[in-house]
Amino acid sequence: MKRLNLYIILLLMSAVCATRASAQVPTGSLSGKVMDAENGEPLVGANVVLRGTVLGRVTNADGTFNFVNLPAGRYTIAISMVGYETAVLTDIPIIGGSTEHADVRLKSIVIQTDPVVVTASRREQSLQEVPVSVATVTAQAIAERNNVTLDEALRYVPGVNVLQDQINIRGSSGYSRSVGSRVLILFDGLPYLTGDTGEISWETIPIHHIQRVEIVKGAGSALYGSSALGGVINIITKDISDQPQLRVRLFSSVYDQPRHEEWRWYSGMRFNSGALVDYSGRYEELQYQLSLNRSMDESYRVNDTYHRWSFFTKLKYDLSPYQNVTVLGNFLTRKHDNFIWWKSLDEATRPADSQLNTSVPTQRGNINLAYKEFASDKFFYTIKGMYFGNYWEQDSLNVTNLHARSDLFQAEFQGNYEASSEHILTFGMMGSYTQVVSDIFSSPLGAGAAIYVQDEYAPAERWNVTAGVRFDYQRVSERGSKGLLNPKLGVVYNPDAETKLRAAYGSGFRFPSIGEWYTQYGGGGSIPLRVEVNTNLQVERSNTYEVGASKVWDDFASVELSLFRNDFDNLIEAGVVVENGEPYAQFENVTKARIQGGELGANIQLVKKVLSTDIGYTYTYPEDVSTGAILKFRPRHLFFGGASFTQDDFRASADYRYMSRIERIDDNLVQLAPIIHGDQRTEIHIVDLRASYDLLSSGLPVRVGFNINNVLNYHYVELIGNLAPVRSFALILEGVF
Amino acid sequence: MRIAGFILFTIALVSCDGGLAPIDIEPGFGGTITFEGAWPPQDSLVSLWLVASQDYPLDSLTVISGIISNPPRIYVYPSLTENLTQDSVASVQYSFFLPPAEYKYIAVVQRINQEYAASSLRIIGLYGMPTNPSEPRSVTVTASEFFGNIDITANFYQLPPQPF
Repeated sequence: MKRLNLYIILLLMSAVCATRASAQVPTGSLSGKVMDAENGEPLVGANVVLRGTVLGRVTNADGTFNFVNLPAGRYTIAISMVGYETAVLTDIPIIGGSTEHADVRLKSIVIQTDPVVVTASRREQSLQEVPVSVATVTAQAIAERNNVTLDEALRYVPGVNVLQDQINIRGSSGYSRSVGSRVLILFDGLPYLTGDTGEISWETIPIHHIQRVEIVKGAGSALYGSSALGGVINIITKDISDQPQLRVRLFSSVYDQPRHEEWRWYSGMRFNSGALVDYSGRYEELQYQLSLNRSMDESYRVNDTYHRWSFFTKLKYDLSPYQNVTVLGNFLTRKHDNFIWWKSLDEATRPADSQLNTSVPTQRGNINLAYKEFASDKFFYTIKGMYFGNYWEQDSLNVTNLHARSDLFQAEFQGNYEASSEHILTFGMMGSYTQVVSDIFSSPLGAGAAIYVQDEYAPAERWNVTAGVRFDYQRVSERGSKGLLNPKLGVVYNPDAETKLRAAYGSGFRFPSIGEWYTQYGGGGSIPLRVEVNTNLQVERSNTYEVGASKVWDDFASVELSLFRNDFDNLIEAGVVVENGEPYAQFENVTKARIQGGELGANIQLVKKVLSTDIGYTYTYPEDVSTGAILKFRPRHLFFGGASFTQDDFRASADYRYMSRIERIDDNLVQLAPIIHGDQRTEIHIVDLRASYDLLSSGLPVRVGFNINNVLNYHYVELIGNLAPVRSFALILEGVF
Repeated sequence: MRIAGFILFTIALVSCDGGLAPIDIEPGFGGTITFEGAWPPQDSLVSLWLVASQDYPLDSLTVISGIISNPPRIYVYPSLTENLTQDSVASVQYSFFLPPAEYKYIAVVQRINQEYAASSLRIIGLYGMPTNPSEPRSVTVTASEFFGNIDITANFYQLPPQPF
């Protein structure tokens, strides 16, 4: 271990020594225009990155970009945009006092062979170099589906399913009552799980400011630490436009009635509506963005209404072409009525009587700070910090029964060093501190630290080998401390530019969350079962083995196939203990599990640029190795099929999702809660239809969309006792001025 | 396009059952009421009720308020007498559909005159404990279950303990 630390310290020292001199040199400018190669139309929203610097631009309404005050020298720019081939212009000379022009024509492509991802190796790299399964969700897909929270968008990713608010990647999480996610969420690269229960706060994620979401499947603790047992989801926020821009987005959807008379309780219309106002621009070297969002859902269920206000801001200041600072602020306040489970299947739109008149007011927010510097052509580093605060309470008739507040502080240093043409090193360290004050989680303190290093090695042409290791240490008040080492290894072979063969091993772990360590609850109210503390909880572990192959047939189709096996040990579940005839719940290490399976994803262009289809199928065999039983809350089959039609400014698409019936659920919860008809569940068939029309060609910078979600008005539960949304009709208006 | 149409048709077909639906079973209980002994004179048998009460013990006030309250605490089987002709039946089967709840007192009641008063009601049969038939036995009705074999023996002249 000492040797590893020494190695990393030496690397850091050599890197800092390599920091470029800040001598005064003459400066010039670089401007240009990005256009479609076929028709010469300007491309709005293309990303222009000046390589080797922190500078990046988003093209304006006329497709132009502009860099000023560039030190004289020779530069490389990379221009990328969804639906176009990435262009790289090298050796552009910048001469002091003059402006260089670089107009770029991007060739439109049907299937992107080499999209850039950042999560698999903590740096920008082509997907063709990545040894693990990575999926992406784009801002366009989120906007078209009118997703209100990110979990809704992730339901369309092959291998991903969401049980209420708990996300599964290839069956990783099951359902652990929202406590302790087995998928790590990152917000611009930093862990974003709540400090108390270690869960994902979907509603806090500013969905309208996402550029893309990357989903890395399989254990990823060798780079990201705790909770990355099943995978990592990285939310990457949008770059800010140079030109002043006002974006207004309005949507309103109305719920249809359930199919069954017994479930109908509203005579008028029930709305789910929202409004977003976003203003961004640039003042000298400062890029800024301010956004206010209001949403309200009257719901199709009794006692399930919510009201939310959220505020988002992003400030980016270029200190020089090689240094910048980014500050991001995100705050949400919400009041949500507390529908935990239904009264019975016969009254599936009504909560159990004990939940009536209960609500959960919440305030959550985070502040991120990031400093990035290109110290030399071969070395850059980032220093990041985040504060993530959460407060929630459970009220009954406006009297607070329970509350919890958590304050999570994180700091991270990461360096990326191109040691030679064969080796790229990524290394870093991070620390975290958590403080919780609650009447059910007690008031513990948690602290953690980690150090990691990864080498990407190209031993021969077309071969890439990635090896890495991370050491994590964590301590939680009197529960003691634990240190863990997690390795990873991956190999990629590209027989040609369109084909990839890969194999990977990764390990994962999860420290118990403070909620699992400390929950003590006397029972009563909406949750009658009491919960007792278990001081002997152990760390969950996982190992992922995966092989895969992908192939792109130019302008026609792409296919990806993966075979995987995940071994889990010491999974924590909320069990029920009966002592002296009195039942109570307690978190326990109960399961040694294995999830094996295969995944197939394909994109086929039926009519080039007009009609395309996507399909994804995942088969998993989730086995409790200790008992031979199927794991709880894991479906065996997931299928997604989508088709989209584009003609000029009109776009229409349809999605179909299928999930096989969950074979095993938590019977104890059903019986002891009790949840009447809690065992009732079915397979899931969901069809969504969408159409949108862009009025830009008519002179209005407005897009109009109309969606029908759950067209078949199919009734199902994702989680026991919770009827999923009925059919709804949504109208969306979005304008950029 | 044909393939896409076929897929959409298949999806619509497999989904046309609509997924989850309310449980078809109407909650409640049922069984057989067996009449033993002679029947009373016709002028003292205005009607014959089966009642299920969520409250027990009962008194003359709570028995009336339990019936007329909204929602009721005491449910009356609607048509027991319609199927009965005096002296003609030794037993009758019944199915009593009720809201989910615990019913602590289930009995056959003879209404002896037209007055709506507790004094006009006489318990002639009781769903009792197997070991002690004169002690009321409760039945908990859940949302998706119909309980059978809730059998009661009624005798117009050997009355169980009267609760009011």
